[in-house]
Amino acid sequence: MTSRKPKVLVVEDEILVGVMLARKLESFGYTVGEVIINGEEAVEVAGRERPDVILMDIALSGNLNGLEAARKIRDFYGIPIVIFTGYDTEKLSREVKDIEPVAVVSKLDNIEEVLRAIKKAVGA
Amino acid sequence: MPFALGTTDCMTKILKENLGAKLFLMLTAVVILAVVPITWSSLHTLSDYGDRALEIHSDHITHQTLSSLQIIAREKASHYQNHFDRIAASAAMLGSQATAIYNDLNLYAGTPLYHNDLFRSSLTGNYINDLKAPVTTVYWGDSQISQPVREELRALTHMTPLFRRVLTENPEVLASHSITTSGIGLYCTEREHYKKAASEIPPSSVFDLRDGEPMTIFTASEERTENVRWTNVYKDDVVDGFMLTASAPIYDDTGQFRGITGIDIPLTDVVDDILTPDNDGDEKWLLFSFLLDSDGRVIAFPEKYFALFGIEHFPSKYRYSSDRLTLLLGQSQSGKVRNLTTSLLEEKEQQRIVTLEGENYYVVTSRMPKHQWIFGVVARQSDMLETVTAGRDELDQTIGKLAIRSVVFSLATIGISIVIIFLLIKHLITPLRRLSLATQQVTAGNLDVHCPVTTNDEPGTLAASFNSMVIELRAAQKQQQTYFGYLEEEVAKRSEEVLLQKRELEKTVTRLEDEIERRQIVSEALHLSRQKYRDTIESSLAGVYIVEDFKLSYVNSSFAEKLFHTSKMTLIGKNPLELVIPEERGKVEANIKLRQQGVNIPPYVLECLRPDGTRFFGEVWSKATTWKDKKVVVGTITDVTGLRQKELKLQEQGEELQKSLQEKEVLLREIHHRTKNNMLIIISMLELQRMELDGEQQRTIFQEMENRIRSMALVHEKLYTAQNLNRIDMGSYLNDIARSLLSSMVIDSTIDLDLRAEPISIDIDHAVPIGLVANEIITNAIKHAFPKGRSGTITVTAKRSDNNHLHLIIADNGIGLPEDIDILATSSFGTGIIIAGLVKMQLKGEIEVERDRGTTYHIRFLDPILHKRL
Repeated sequence: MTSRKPKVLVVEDEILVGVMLARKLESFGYTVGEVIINGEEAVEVAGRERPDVILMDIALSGNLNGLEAARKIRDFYGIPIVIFTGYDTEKLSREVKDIEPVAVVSKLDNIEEVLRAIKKAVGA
Repeated sequence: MPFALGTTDCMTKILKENLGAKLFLMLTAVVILAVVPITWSSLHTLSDYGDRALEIHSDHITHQTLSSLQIIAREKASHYQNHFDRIAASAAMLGSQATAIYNDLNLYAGTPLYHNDLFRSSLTGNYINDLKAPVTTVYWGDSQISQPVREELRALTHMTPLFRRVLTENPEVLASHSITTSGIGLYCTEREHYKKAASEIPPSSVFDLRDGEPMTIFTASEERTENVRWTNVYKDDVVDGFMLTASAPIYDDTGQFRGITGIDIPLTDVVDDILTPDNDGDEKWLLFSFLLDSDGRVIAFPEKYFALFGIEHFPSKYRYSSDRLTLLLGQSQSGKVRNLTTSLLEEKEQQRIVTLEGENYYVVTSRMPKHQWIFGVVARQSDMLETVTAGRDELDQTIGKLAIRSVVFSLATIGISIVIIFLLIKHLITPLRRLSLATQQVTAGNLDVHCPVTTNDEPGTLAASFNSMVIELRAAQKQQQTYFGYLEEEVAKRSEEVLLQKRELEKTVTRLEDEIERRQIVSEALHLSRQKYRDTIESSLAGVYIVEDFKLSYVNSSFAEKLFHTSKMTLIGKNPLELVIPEERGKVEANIKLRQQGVNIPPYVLECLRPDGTRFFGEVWSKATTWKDKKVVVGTITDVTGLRQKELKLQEQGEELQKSLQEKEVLLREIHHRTKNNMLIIISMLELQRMELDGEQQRTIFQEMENRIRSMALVHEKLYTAQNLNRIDMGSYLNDIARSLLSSMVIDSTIDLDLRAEPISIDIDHAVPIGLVANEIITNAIKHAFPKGRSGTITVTAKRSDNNHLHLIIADNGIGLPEDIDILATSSFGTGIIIAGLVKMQLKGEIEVERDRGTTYHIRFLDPILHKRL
C-alpha cells in the first residue's frame, strides 16, 4: 500500500453501473472521482486530473467511442487503461493491441476481476 | 404387202442360190438392152419424119391460103366497086339530062310533060304537089312561086321518065332526085311513105336542103366538075340503114351551077352481102369479111367478132344506125389490132397474120379502087390447117402400125432369145446341180452318194473328184465314230460337275437373297428411325444445330423460327459466332475449339444476337462428335431469357432478404446487448443495494440473486457475440457460469472446475433454465460441499445420451448432503423451486441426486433440437 490512495477514473456509459463500480473501488481503498459517460470528457478529465488508471467502457455516448478515447489518452498521457466491456473480450483483446491495455475485463465478470486488473495497473 | 414381200424375198433367195437363174437373168437383160433401144430409135425416127413433113406441108398451105385470100379480097373489092360504078353511071346520065334541060330551059318549060300544080302545105308552109303525081315536088325557095321558078318546075317535068327508068333498071335504088339552087326538090320513089316523108320536109327556116349534102359537095368548092360525086355514108331521115348518094351537078347554058341530081342507094344490101357468110364454094373456110371506109370507120363488121378485135360496142346507145359509123378499127382496145389497122390503111393490099386470144388469124385486105374503102377477109389458121391435121392423123396411124409391128418383132426376138438362153443354161447347169445335190446329201451325212460322170468337160472332172472325196470321207467317218464314244463319256462327266456347281451357285444365290432381304429390312428400319429422329428434332421446342468448320450445316425449325426469328435458309452456312453478341464471341469460339479437341464443356448460358438485332439468353448444350472423319459440334439451344430474368429477380430479392436479415440480426444483437446491459444495470443496482446492507444473510441473498441474473445475462451475451443468434454452446456457457461463481464466492479454499462438455448447442428457451439450474447447483456445492477451506473439484459434464436426450451431470467431491435432507423436496426458493421446478416444468426433464462421495446431480431432458417447444 502506498501512502497515497491510487486514483481511478471510471468511464462508463451506464451511470448506475459506473456508480456501482466507483463505490466498489472506493470500498477497496481507491480514489474515484466523478463517473464520466462520454469519450471527449474522458480525454479532458484524464488530462486534467491525471488518474493512476482508467477503467474504460467501449460503448460511449458522444462522438468518441471508448477505444478512440483510450487511444488518445494513451498517446497523450500514457495512463494505463483497463478495458471494461460488454462484448466478446477475447476478440476485443486482439483488436486493441495498439492501446496496450492492462487488461480487458468483461462487465459480467465478478468485481474481483476488475480489482485484480486495477491492482496490476497501479503496480501494487 | 407381206405376200409381195415374201415373193420378193423368195426371188432374191433363188437369185442368190441359183447360178442358172443368175446367168439366165443376166443374158435376158443383155438381149432386152440390145433390142429395146433399136426399136425405140426406129419408132422415134418415124415420128420425127412425120413431124417434119407436117411442118413443110403446113407452111405450104399457109402460103397458098394467103394467096387465095388475097384473090378473094381483090375480087370482092372489085365486085363492090362495080356495083357503085353502075349507080354512078346512072347518076351521070341524070346529070347530063338535067344539064340539057337547063341549057334549053324555055323550050322544056314550054312543053311540060304534065301539069304539076303546087299548093301550099298547111303542115310545113312549103309548096308541094299532089302525092299521086309521079314525082314528089317541093318548093321552099320563097314564100311566092316566081315566074322563073314556075318555068323551072314546068321544064323539070322532063326529068320524070329518066327518074323512073333509073328506078326500074336498078331495083336496089331507093330514090332518084334533084335539088335546084332556086329551092326546088324533086323526089322520085316507088315507096309511098318515102313520098310522104319527102313532101313533109321541114320549112326552110328549120332546114334548107341546099345547105346539106349532096349540094355542098359541089358548092363547097369553086372548082367546076361534071363528074359524079359520092356523098359520105349517111343515115337518111326516112330510110333505115346506111345510105349513100351518087350526085351529078347541073349547069345551065351560061355555065352557072343550078343544082344537083342524084340517086339514093341504101348500103344495106352491100352490108348484108358482106356479113352473110357464104357457106359454099371456095369461101366456106373464111371466118368473116368486113368493110371499112377510107378512114377506117366500120361499115360492115360482124358483131360477134367485135370482142375478138377489141372493138368497144354499145348497141343500146345507138339511136341511129349511122352511129355505128363512129366505130373505128384504129381505136381498138387491142394494140395488135391498132397496129394492124395502121398498116391496112397504108397499103393497097395487105396479108397479115394476127394472134388474138392465143389463135392465129389471117387478115387479108384489098382497097376499092374509087372509094378507097377497104375490103377484108379473115380466116382462122387452125381452120386452114384442118386438112394438114387430117394428114397428120393418117400419118400417125401409119406410124402406129409400124410401131406395133416393130414391137411385136422385138418381143418375138426377145422371147426366142430367152428360150435359147434357157435351154443352153439348163444344159450347162444340170451336171453342176446334180453335184450340188450330192454335196448336200454328203453334208446331211449320207456318204453312200455317187455322182454320175457324163461329160469330159470341167463339170465332169468336178464330179469325178467329188466321188473320190466321198470315198475318203467314208473312211474318215468310221474313225470319227470311235472318237465320239470317248467324247460322250467325257461330256457326261463334265455335265455332272457342272450340275454340282450349279447347285452350289443356287445355294449362294439363296443366301444372297436372304442377305438382301435382311438389309432391306434394316434399311427400312434405319429410314424409319431417321425419319423419327428428324421429326423429333424438327418438332423439338429446343433449337437444334450442327456446326461443321465453323459453319452451321443444319438447324431445325425451332432454332430458325422460334429462337432467331428467321428462316432456315438464311442461317445455313452462317458462322455461328454471328449469332452471338460481340462480347460473347471470344468465349463461344474458344468453346467450339475446345469441344472439337474433345474437351467436355458443361452447358452454359450466353446472350444470342438475332439477325434482326434483338437479343435473347440461350442455354447451350452441345457435344462434339465425328461424322465421316469430320469433327462436328451438335447442340441444342433453349431460350432461357425468362428464367434468366427470374433468376436475376430472385437474386435481387435474395440480396434484399439478406440485407433485411442482416438488419434484423443487427437489431437482434442490439436487443440482446441491451437486455444484457439492462441486466447488468440490475446487477449493479443490487450490488449498490447490497453494499448498504448489514446482515450477512441478506448480503448473501443479494449476492446469489446477482449471480442468477448474471447467468441469465450471460445467455444474452453469448447470443449476441455468437455467430448464431438463436443458439449458444452449452459447454462454453456452463464454463462461464461456473468460473464466475468460483471467482466471486470462493475466498479461502481451492475448488477446481472440471468441465467435460460435448459440443451441444441449445436455444435461448432452454439456455436460461439450464443456466439457472447449473448456477443453483454449483452455488450450493461451493457453499456446502467444501466447508472450512476444504479443497475439491466440481465436475460439469454435458453429453448426449440415448433416446435423443441430453444428459447434464454436475458433481462435487465434497462432504455430500446430509442424509436427512431431500434437497428436491424443499420448498426453498433455490433448490425446490428453481432446480426441481425448472427441470420438470420447463425442461420437461428428470432430475436425480446421487449421494456417493459428494453429491451428483443427473439432469436428463429431450434434446431441444429434436423436441422443439412450440
